[in-house]
Amino acid sequence: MAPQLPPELVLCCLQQLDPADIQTIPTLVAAARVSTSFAALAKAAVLWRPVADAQYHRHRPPSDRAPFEADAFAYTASRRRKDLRARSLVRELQRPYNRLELVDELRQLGSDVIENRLWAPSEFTEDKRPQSWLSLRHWANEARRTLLRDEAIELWRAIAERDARGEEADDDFERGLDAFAAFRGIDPTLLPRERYDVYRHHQELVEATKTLPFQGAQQLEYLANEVHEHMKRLQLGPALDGTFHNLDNHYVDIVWSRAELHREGETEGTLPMTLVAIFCSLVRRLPIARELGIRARPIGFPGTVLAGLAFDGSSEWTYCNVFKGTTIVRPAALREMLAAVGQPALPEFLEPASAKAMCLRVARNILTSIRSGDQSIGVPIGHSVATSALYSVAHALSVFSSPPSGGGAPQPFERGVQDQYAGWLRSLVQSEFPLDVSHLERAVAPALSGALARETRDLCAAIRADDQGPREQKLVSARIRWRIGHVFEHRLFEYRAVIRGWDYRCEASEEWIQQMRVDSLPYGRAQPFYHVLVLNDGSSRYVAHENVTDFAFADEDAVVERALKIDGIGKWFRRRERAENGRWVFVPSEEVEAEYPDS
Amino acid sequence: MASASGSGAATGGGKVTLTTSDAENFVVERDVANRSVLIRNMLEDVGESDQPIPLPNVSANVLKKVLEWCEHHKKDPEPIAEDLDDNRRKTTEISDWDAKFIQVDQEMLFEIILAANYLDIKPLLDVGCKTVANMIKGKQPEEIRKL
Repeated sequence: MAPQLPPELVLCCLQQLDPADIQTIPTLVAAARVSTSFAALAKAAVLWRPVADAQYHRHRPPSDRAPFEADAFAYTASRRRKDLRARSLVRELQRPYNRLELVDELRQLGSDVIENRLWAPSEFTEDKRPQSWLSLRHWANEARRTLLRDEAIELWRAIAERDARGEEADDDFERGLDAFAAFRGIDPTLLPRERYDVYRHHQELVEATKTLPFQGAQQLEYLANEVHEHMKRLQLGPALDGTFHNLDNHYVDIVWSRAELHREGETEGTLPMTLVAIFCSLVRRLPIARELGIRARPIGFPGTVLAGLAFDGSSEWTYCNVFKGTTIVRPAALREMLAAVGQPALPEFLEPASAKAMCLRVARNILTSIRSGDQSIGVPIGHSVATSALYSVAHALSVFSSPPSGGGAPQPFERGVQDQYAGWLRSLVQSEFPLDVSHLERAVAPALSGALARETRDLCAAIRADDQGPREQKLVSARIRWRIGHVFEHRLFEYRAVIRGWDYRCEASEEWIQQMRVDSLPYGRAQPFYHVLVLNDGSSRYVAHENVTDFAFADEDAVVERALKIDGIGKWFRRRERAENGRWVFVPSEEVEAEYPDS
Repeated sequence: MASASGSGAATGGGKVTLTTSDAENFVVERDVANRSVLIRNMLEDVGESDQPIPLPNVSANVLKKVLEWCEHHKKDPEPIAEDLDDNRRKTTEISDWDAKFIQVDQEMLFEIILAANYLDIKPLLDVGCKTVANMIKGKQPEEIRKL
């Protein structure tokens, strides 16, 4: 008989389980069921605090510390219940109707479930969930993005409120900018840990700035140069000619990943705003900055953004042009530059800009990028990326142009601007983000007046009614030859696509019919028309029956494989399948099935 | 390498004599014995002494095994006083040598853990506990109960 380990050593052994390992929770739970003495041990706070930290607090501290401190075991159990509930909500979201109540429940769970491992992309693979992995992945993404968006909007509101009181938190600029990424599904809370942790990722910069030679402003110049050089080594530099307006340039995490891919040689680079944000974020975290009380802030110079460094309590700013090769710019040179472009040397051009002003600037810059049409070099902006970016802009502009709550009646001009942004939000919610209808109801509609308010409320009611279904069903007629999920090559344009819906005849607008010269087709506008998803880029097209083909094409496997990555393909299809003839077909999602019950 | 020595002879030249519960004597180099915080503290307390150190909680076959570990790790740097790292998790993997060393039956494994705990050899205790943790990982209550 083996000797028994005393309780404190059993605890020692349990403590050796890796808190980040997904098997640790089930193992501890099993251990607790061994015996009553084990139960007491296996629920010990020393075991569960690290587990909760590793599994739930990697990027977000607990929303409420008290239950965590009081009983880490019970706390972890409640977090796990929330995650499980969120996962089953994702499963239910596949249904075609009454999704809004599910989303409302999800919003109640809130930020706590964003880091949910149960909906990590690795959970929804063809191997693990063969039945409907595409749909599940889609709704998990939608759920996560909804929560990320809510968090971003909430943050912007808090920044706007602080701004109205003449206050600003230290990280408002950094977080306000990063919040735009949330709309693209990038969790902004990853950045501080994955990018800005100076001890883990920038040790050489910490070493190089351990002590600063010289005194006063010269110390700031030295620091600025070191940080700038460090960024250059990381390939975080100015955008190449002609790529300035690329959409991806606005997102620190994307810029950074891109730079990592191209450690050798030239990279795409990015905008002054993004570089200044990185610069300030790094400086803020350097031990020397805390030791000497150094602030780093964006300076809203016309036409560009500079970084400014100053000691606490001093208004003597050292200006750094992180976008250009030379780091330090003298105030006199800045005044000359202003004079050269006929601008007066207004104090605000040379003083730190507010987080609110910078967020507004980013929103407008993103808008410019969307209009320019490039996502990165040689890649046009896809539909879903463009709409999410536009949606972030509409929300940011709407939040930052609203008068502060309790701030009195808005001016007529403000009213006009607000109505315009509200209009954008309304049409985006209607066409792309119906699950966000509660935003319109709660945050947008109350701020509107007269007819606009009425229209908005009517739209919200219509979205809710549509959510409750049932919608009109379309039954296959003799003329509908192609099935939903059919993969084909366009007869004339040769792109590859998959059918996701159809109409008995062309239902597009007269203008579109004229423009596309539908009437010059042999079978004209009276033939069935198919809604298709283009497999290379995920865009949508509307195709005449006669242009759909059924011949096999050579690289079908590769085309279909790539298509699985399309953002949003899971809205239409639950999985792919090999048909009897060896060709791929996609199996319609519950939503599509409800509309086309027999196709 | 530790060697059993029949006599309780004096131990000069930085050697220490350890006496087990079953009255066997082991003569070992001082820096091997120093891996045990318990023994190190005793040696510091008594100063230079030829007296054997009694270890009434450890039997000869276990001490032999423990000393084998101490011998291999005698040049290891002192563990840094608990890192201030925000997540000071013990995710350090067991080294190849340690993994081989700890391939013993369960009875010996538990004896080693108990001895490492008594002798206060933290890294060896961690190796033992980690091995137990790996044994119970993913197991059902019935399987854990059998351990």
